[in-house]
Amino acid sequence: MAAGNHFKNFHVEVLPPRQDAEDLEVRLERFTKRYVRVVEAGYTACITDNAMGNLSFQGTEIIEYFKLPVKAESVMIHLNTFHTKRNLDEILDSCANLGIRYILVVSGDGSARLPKLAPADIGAEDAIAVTSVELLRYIRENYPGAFTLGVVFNPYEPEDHEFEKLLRKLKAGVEFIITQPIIEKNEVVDRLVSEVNIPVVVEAWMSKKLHLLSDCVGYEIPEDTPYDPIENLEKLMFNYPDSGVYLAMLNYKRQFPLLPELASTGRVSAESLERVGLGKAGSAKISVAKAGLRKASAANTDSANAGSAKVGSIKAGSANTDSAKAAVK
Amino acid sequence: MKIVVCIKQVPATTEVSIDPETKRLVREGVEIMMNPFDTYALEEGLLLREAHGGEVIAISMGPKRTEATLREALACGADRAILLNDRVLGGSDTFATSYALSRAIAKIGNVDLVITGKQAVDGDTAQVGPGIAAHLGWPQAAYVSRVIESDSKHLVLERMHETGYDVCSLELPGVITVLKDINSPRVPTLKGRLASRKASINIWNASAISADLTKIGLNGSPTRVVATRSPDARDKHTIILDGSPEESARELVKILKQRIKL
Repeated sequence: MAAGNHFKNFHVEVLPPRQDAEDLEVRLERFTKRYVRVVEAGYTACITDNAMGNLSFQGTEIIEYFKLPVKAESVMIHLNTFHTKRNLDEILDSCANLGIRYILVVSGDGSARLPKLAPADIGAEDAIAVTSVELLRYIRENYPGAFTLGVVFNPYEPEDHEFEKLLRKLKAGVEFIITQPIIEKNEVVDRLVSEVNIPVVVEAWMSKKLHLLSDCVGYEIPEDTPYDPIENLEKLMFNYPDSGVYLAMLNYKRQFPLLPELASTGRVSAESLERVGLGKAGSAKISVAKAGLRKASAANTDSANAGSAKVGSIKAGSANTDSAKAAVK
Repeated sequence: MKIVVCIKQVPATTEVSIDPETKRLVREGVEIMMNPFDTYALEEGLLLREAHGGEVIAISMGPKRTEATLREALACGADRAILLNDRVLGGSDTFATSYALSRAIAKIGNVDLVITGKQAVDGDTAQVGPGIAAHLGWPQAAYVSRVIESDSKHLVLERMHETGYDVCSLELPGVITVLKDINSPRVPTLKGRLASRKASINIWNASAISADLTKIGLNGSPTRVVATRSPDARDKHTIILDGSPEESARELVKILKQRIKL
């Protein structure tokens, strides 16, 4: 992967400890070790923000507290809409002070304990609720030039709806996109890659437990679905050579050591897999999983048959907006 | 401003059972949390401290495991925490609980303001805040939705009542109970959380607060739960309306009108 193109780098997700962790000190130590390992390897450490609505510590406060290194382009912070205004500004100020440039702006998952930004908090009185679009605008206006802002693209949502949302995000000034996890190749992501000219990072699900993606794809994936995450990663890198890869649920003991080889050759040798104790699953296994996720994608496409007409309007609409014009090919 | 925030530990679930003998909630083995309304009380205390200086003291009454909830308050920014813990306090009703808390507040001394959530989500009585004010002989404002003005001598408050809101002035020292509308509670910081894990919590027993033993615990409680029962199941059924959207809408309006008459 070319060092010059930051987004073609590996983006490695690092989950901060939950607030209610009883073994907090142990989990903090684990986080800091993983973070440092990712940063020192030259990858981008992507720190989640109360993932799944679970109250967790902010990446910025852990970095500040433990004085962890922040190299240029080595850290990406997820930022969602479940914050108080004060907390939001604190996080953004910390990012600016620490030199964290990349922020992935997401609507996020709420919970009873998490506050939710109100439109009036961020000067979005016209909006019904604060979504990633309003948050993007707020950051753009209040921290001009300070950050490179990204959003998530979900190929499992009805296609026309997702592209309409993407258009709003493009107009709000988004500069990169990270997809939800995909297996091998996804037609909707293919379209995304072909239609936008901002960097797209595809997400690779690195857990063998594919069924954990059920909520994400919107249907039940059987628990025993065979899945080889390394093989999927190889295929994603082959199928999306111009995109970076976001690694979710990475196993730091067995999978992380394979990343340099993947970065340089796009493959992992059988010897390397054996060295880390990972047997290579047959291609028949992965195709089972692929078939499942493709089925969902096709269903969404069917349910959004009017999509192609809407797609045209995205292109036309974006051509009328400076930021969107710049973003759409 | 010296502010005391009263905090209750409550079950983190609605799936609770009642002890058939004592008629009280079975709290053992149930996941616990800070009473949600108390998180707003704590936040308001912290905001007032930030505006005027002083300290926020979190106080609770209960078994030793209540320390976990007080540590949550410390993690959010409370300066210190006190737990009233004594077997003789067990079984206290709202009268006895508010009496014990008022004794602790008197012992703390020079308190300007006591803040509680409007009610606890387990008992739903909304009596302890006003009870503390009564025992202390202080003025009170319940269901406060906004602090409009504040200084060391008085607060100007917006409070909710049956038909709307009014604005009142409260001389300090006083007691307020707060609604969810009043603020957005902060979440603990890492620094606060780590400090709270090592912080010491003052444990006071009945003797420490010079409590009159005839006013605390089961014997000091003028109310008794003599029976409990689950509410009747709601009459719930599904009606499917056939016809065009207009016809279905007309039929729905007709059904709703009939129900309103009932």
